[in-house]
Amino acid sequence: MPTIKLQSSDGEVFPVDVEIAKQSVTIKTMLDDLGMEDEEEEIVPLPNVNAAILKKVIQWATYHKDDPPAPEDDENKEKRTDDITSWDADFLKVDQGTLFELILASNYLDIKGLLDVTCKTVANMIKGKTPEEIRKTFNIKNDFTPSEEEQVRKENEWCEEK
Amino acid sequence: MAAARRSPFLMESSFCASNAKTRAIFHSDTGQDHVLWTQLQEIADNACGQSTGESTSSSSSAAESDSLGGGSIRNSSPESIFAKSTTINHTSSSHTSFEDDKFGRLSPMVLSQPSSHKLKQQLMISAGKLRKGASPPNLDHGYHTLTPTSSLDSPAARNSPDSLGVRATKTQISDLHILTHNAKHSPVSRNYKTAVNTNLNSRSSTPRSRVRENHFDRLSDDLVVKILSYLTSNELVMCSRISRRFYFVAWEPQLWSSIWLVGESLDADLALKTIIRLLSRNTSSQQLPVDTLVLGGCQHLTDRGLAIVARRCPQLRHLEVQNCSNLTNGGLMDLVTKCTLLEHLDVSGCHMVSTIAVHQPPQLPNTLVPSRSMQIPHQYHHPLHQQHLLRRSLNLQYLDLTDCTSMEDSGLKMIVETCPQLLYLFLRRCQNITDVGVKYISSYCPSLRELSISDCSHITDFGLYELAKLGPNLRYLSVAKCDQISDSGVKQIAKLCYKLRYLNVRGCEAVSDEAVETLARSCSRLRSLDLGKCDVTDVGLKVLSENCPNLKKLSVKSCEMVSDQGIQLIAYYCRGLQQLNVQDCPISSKGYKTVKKFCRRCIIEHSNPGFF
Repeated sequence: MPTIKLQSSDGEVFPVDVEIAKQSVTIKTMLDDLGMEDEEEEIVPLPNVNAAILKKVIQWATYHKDDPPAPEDDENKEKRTDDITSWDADFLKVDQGTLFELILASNYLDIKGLLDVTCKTVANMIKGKTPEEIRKTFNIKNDFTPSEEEQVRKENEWCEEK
Repeated sequence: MAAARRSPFLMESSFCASNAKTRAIFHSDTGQDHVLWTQLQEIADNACGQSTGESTSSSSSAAESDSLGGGSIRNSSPESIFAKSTTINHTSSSHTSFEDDKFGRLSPMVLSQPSSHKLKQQLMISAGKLRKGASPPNLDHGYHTLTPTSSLDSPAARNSPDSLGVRATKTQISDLHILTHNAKHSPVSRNYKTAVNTNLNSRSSTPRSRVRENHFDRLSDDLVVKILSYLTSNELVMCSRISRRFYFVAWEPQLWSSIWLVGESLDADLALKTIIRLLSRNTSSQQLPVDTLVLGGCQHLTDRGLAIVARRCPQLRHLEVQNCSNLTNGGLMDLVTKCTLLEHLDVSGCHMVSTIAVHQPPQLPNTLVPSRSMQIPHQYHHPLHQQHLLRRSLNLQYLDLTDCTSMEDSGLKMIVETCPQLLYLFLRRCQNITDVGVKYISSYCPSLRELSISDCSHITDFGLYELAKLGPNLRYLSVAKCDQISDSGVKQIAKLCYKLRYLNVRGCEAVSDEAVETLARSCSRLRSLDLGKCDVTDVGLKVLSENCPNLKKLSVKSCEMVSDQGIQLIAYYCRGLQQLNVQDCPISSKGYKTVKKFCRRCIIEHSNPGFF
């Protein structure tokens, strides 16, 4: 099995099976464009991904290497968030910093499956919470002025539980 | 809803699991802090106890376990926690967080300027890169790497009496929660022990003042939209109240192409009005790209609400208004006339709806007046008469009229005339429908694939003779509890609709082996058959088992003439059986064991307490 070497932003090099690495559309396109020879020991630099995150991404891609290709996005379908497999759920039991790094990395590397499951995980952290609870969970600053906040609240009055 | 309920539960259980590890760490590392340990145990037990409770309580405790800003759940009221945590957030962000502070100032009042919001976003990203560059590259950006810096960087926060007051045991456990996760899963796990120690030591010396990043700041709007796309409409509204940025992102029209509103008490008219008004700000066009609208059980929805949708959402394809009992024919007529792309309409439980019609265009002179009345007899005989073609029709393919109790034959005629492309039609418990109405269905909707007229007790074999004209297109038919139906009607269906996959004749007591035999010989693709309370015996089951090898579901509930022998034959020949109902049948454990032996995946519903 041919391998390529992926270099993280902090200089660590990871040898990875080409087939595993190609789950990243970004890397796949890069390899296709460059037409890399199998023999060559090319190093692909990934300036936006640090070693810790790259390691996790590779772990995910290795586990999912035999997954069938993701079905085309069906916009009409109800978006579900309760279909995260238990392996993925375990894999994503990480601190928020790592979780968001994974979102950024999977977006940059264009790995749809990982992006979907990480975004779902964050969505699940939002679900069922009040705005204040969401702010606390993610440490988001409430930057509405009091009058704006009142306006927004009024706009959404219909949504309040009665 | 299931998603919303399950997720906090998952998080909660993970929390409990990690607590066990937390305890272990405490045992090995900190014998000295006994008080803290006891408190931790209490909290952990509380949290674990809550996880089995109902969804709302577990979701709120999950929120608390996630939150670091909050104080103790035990010694202060929720309001005071919120108040204090907000204070802390303010102090920490204004004194220590370089990004927050900077962009707090950079972000102007951008209520109508998404572009400046983008600018802010870009700045934020570049600043994020700067910060990344400055920090040691071999560390990730988790909390433990931030702990020492923040305690050094924030003298103001350290001196703040508020932050001292709010620092409580709960904070510790949530930190540990994250760290234990790190210990297990993160590649930097070798750091965890020291991190825990730092944490415990700093407890006495340094007040809680770490910088907690808002990780959303690092995501582009597109990514935030993607995350929010997994939320329901109500949850999106909640998000719009978080902060300015979320306010803009949450009202991104693409997030509202599907609108799902549920709740009996919801003022659906006001909700629709508000949503459409807020969405309109972000588009110049009068038309909103709303594709799907689901208003389940919104009893307060009226024709006025539908009128707004009809006016502003002409691209609607999918509408569900189950149990919106205030809707009338007029409201629906208005909507289907304007939303010409509508394919899927579910008005089940709308008691006042008795027909669906379209506003016809004004008549051209010199044409015959196409009849909109029910009385002209020749149309009855020639449904595809030229006059019919002049009518404006709908593209509806799926129509659910279950429990539309005021539906009568005349209204049904209007519907099938208007919707010639129907593939799925459900008329459960429309008890005023008779054979006359059923005849309209097969005359006007020749491509119908699925039909349910269960509990329409006026329907007789004559109706089935008409339905049989649908021929091989028909794949699914339920005539459950139409108890005037007998062998003759079912045989006609079986002969002509030979591609039938699903048939439900439950409670049609006049249906006997004779019909089952014809059915089995003709419809070999049958997958699901409900013969509950029918007059069938082992003879019928024998023919069925020999001719329908694809059977997946079978019910012979309350068929008192069915014995072990028939069931054994079914089990032997239909190995793919997944569901078998033999409740109230004289089946012994012999028959039961045979099914277990040959159909390993089969779920057997029975009423014999001796089976196991």
